[in-house]
Amino acid sequence: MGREEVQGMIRPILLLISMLMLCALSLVGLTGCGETQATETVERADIITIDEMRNFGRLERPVVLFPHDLHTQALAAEGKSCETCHIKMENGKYAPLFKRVANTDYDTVMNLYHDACIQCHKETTGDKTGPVTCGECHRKDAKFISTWTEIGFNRSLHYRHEQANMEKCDHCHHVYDEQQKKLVYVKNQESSCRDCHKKEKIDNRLSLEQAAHYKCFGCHLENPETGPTTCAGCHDKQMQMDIKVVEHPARLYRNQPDYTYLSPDDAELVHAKLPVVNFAHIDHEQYLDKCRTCHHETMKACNECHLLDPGEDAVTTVTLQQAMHDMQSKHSCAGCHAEKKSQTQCAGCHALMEQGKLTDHACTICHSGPKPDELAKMSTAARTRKPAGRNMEKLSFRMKDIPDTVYIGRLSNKYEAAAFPHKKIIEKLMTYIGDSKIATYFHGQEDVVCRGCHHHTPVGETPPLCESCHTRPFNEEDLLKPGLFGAFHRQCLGCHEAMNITEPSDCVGCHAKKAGN
Amino acid sequence: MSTSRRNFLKWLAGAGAAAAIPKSARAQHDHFEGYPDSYGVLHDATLCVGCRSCEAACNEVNDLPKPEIPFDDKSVFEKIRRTDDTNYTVVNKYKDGPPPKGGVFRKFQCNHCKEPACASACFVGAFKKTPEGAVLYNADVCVGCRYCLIACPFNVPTYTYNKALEPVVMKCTLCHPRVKEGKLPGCVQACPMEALTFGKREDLITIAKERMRKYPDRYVNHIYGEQEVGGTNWLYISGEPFEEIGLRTDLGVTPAPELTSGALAMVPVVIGMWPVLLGGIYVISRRKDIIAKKEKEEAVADMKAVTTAEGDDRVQKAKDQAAKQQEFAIKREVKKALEEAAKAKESEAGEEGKS
Repeated sequence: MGREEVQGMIRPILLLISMLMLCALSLVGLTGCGETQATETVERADIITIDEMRNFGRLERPVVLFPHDLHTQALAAEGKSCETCHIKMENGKYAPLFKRVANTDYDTVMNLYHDACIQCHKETTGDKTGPVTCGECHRKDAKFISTWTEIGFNRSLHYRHEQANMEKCDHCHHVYDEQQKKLVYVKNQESSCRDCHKKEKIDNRLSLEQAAHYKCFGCHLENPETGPTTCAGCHDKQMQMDIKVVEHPARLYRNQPDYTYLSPDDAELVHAKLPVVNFAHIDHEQYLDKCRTCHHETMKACNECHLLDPGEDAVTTVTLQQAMHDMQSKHSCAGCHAEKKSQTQCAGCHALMEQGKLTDHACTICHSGPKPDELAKMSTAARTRKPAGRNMEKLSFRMKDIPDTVYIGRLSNKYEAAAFPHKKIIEKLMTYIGDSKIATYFHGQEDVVCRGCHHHTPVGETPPLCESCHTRPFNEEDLLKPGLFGAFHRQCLGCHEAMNITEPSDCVGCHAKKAGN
Repeated sequence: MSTSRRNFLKWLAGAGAAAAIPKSARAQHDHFEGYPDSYGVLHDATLCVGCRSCEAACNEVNDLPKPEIPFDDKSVFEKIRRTDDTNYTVVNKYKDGPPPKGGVFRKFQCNHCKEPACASACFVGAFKKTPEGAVLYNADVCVGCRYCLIACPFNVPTYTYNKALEPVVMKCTLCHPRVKEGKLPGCVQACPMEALTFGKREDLITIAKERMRKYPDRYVNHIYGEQEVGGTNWLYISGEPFEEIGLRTDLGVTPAPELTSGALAMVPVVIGMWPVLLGGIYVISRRKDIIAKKEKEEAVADMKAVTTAEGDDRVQKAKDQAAKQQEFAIKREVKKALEEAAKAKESEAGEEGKS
């Protein structure tokens, strides 16, 4: 057979094959096995991604997004129970997997879903039944967007559960007893759930997800009306916000000290230089809504994990110093305190200061406890005694020494001098400070308030003129420092902006226009 | 303004210039990196309060005609303005906000590119980049072709159409004469918030970075103009994404002249071929749309010389001109494509002949 003859035969064959393939494709399309394109997406908090087949290898089809609440509602309306989809186990609880206790093999699991889902959808009559073709479940582009939000216990929610459980802590809290080979409750050993229950299941220790659903959801299901039994009830952001909040819940007590010193571990105390830090644990419990905010999930003391000099065996390489002073972290002392500065009442002064930097005199404000060698000699009882501490009385300020009104007219040209209500502003700031425990603590020195505007200068009764540093128009040797013109406007407007002060709203609000301008 | 006019001439002389800011040793490159000690302005949009003092000062120092709407009238912010034949700069409002700042503003004026497109487009050399940083225009040699208007990626130069006898191009001079006298640019001196900082371009970049370091939450981490179109002497930092304060972010970092060089190199040779040159410039200003499809499409379009009946004239013109520009800019690629296409055709024809 010549080459040309072969080519002549191949062409019609190829044509035939391609036509057959086209026919096949169109048939697939007609039977609905092509993936359907979503028209619009719906936000739901109850979306479960069914990708169980991953356990047996690569997925052949797109995952199925399953709106769980939608199904429980539909079943409830028909008087059907959870058992329609979940097997009731010997202990009376439902197996979390769909119609099975464990994954067996590829075909069984696949058929389980296909047969049960499609059959139920076919049997269910009415408008609102589910899809029965492949592509309607296995969609290429998502029909749902999951708005699932993690939920954790805050103090209010914990308190409400304490009340509901008649303070029977063992309903939820337990530790595993190696000898008895069972879960037991030990008083004052309570920790957070996620201390033991991690993201994944380890041996017979359940994952956090499994544990939470067994305990929380299981209890809610057994005792209807006590708590949510739907996905959205716990995991919808809006519904979380609607959860009733107890304003002043009772203290969560597990033998923690009221007062203590933040210090390195006793073994490392010899290496410490600064006096240790007075810490009112009892007060901070009120400021924060979770123990986890500071303690992570462990509920251990800081210095058990964070060391001054972590060796190779250390739990974490984050040193004690870093853990306490990291300005970027919301869990460290300094980071959390820095966040408070962004409050409107504080931001007038603090927004203009460099972010993420401790002030020069900050060390001794916290490190005001006993010296490390003194602490080493102290008994546990002495260490947890309420310290004499700083004078937390309202600040006494030499108000008589400060000027009432300051006229800023150094640059007056087109505008008259601005009358600056100096005393009024300080009085206002003092009120804000007086109302806040943290502000009173950190503004204890008389000149701290002045430093808001008279920064960097040692404040006496007459601070130096602004132009001592801020030159006119500006210092070309130090372009980082604003000139006098900019310094005035940035300070005033910057403070007003940060404190949401909308008056005065234009130039003449501060300084009247001169005639002829 | 009674603010003392310090002698900035010493900056120009290089004595004691910004000693506080350490300078890194300058790297040596083969390509033009811009004048090393040129000056510029840093505009910090987070500080701008839209008082329009800069507009007023610019008007005054440049003896420009008094506008109908006075400079303290904030009603101008109702729409986004651009410079016209009566001004060198305008301030625009991009977001509303409560007093005292009243929103997000940005000043618009010539950015004084390190390698200006206007200068490279001008075949009589009416634009000149000075070592001090300003891009200056010389009306004496200008022939009024207005290529500069088209070439500028920022739409800055404007034309005095109303002057019948001696129309000129209007644009900011970075107050070059004032700077030479040792004064600050008018706008910089007038800014009450010092949202405008005048200084050596290198120092301005250091200042911008320092502000971002000190207040990371306040700024978008980018200095607009540091790299854009090869770098500009007017720099911007902002708390809002730059495209939201009217600054194009699609311009790339290649200096405009580099892009036009293919077309412009031909100017002396084919000085009569105006459409070709215009095409080159048109392509630069519409670069984003065209570059995306570039090469293959254009080459094929050119090869086939298909003139579709549909589409308006403007689009068609752009396509043709773009195609022509390709001949110069990517001559080799086109040739290659042509050759390959021809080869392919040949072999295909050969195959068909065989079967």
